[in-house]
Amino acid sequence: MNTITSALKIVLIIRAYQWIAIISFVAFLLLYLMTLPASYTGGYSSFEALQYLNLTLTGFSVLMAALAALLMPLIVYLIRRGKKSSKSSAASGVLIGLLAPMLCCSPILPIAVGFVVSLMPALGGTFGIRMQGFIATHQVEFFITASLLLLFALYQNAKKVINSINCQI
Amino acid sequence: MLWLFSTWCHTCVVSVKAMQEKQALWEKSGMIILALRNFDNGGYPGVDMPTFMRKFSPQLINLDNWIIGQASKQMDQKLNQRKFPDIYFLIDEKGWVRTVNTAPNISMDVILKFANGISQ
Repeated sequence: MNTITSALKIVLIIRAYQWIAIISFVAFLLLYLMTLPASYTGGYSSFEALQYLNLTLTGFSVLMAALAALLMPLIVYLIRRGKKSSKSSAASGVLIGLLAPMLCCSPILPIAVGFVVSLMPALGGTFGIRMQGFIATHQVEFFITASLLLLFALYQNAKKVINSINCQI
Repeated sequence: MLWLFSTWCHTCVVSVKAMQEKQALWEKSGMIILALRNFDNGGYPGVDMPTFMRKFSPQLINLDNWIIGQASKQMDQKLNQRKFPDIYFLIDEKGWVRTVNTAPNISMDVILKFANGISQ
């Protein structure tokens, strides 16, 4: 936690990075607020989905948007300094958070599985529906995993920011 | 309207509530709704239909224009080969399938137009 706080203090002291954080937060919040209830709209992410927001979905939207918004300035900071940033866990966190509600209760998965089965009949059966059922009944667990991945990405990048400062000295 | 759904599906929960809100319209138009749980609940465990209906739309139980039940394996194989968790068919008086769609809460305007067509 100290690593994250220290790195954020280093990066967010610069006005440009503050703006990156603010803009990222607004963009990610809108994205999450419209996408997390997609399991209630047949997989569609739209303003219409906002009516299906509940306390849990709103809470996770704010949490994941905040984590992604803190992550963005750190990644940009590392890239601008020519350092390698950790993007895979951040991307996985964002993808899991966004894909889980879109795949549940929508025609996307049955069509995709139907296409795969037409190419490889051995994969037939109820795999697609089981996957949808699992996602539908374990959505909160998926959101927790996504948040943990974002937190891990934040930690990884914060460590790199601190190391890059130490290297400079 | 023949509606096949799984009781673990999120659109099905909000759709059954949305359908309940429009019950007066369905009754007026003479539309009959066959709401059937997918065979084997679509391959994933979940509550049975009476429990589901009691929990989310108790007003729809024992109505003349609502038939609630369970789809057979044959019906599932004929009408829902791709195993959609939420699929409905709007069938006219002559037995022609006019529309196949999903998530009644989102496609409610399609159902309303169909119901209005019946009553005209």
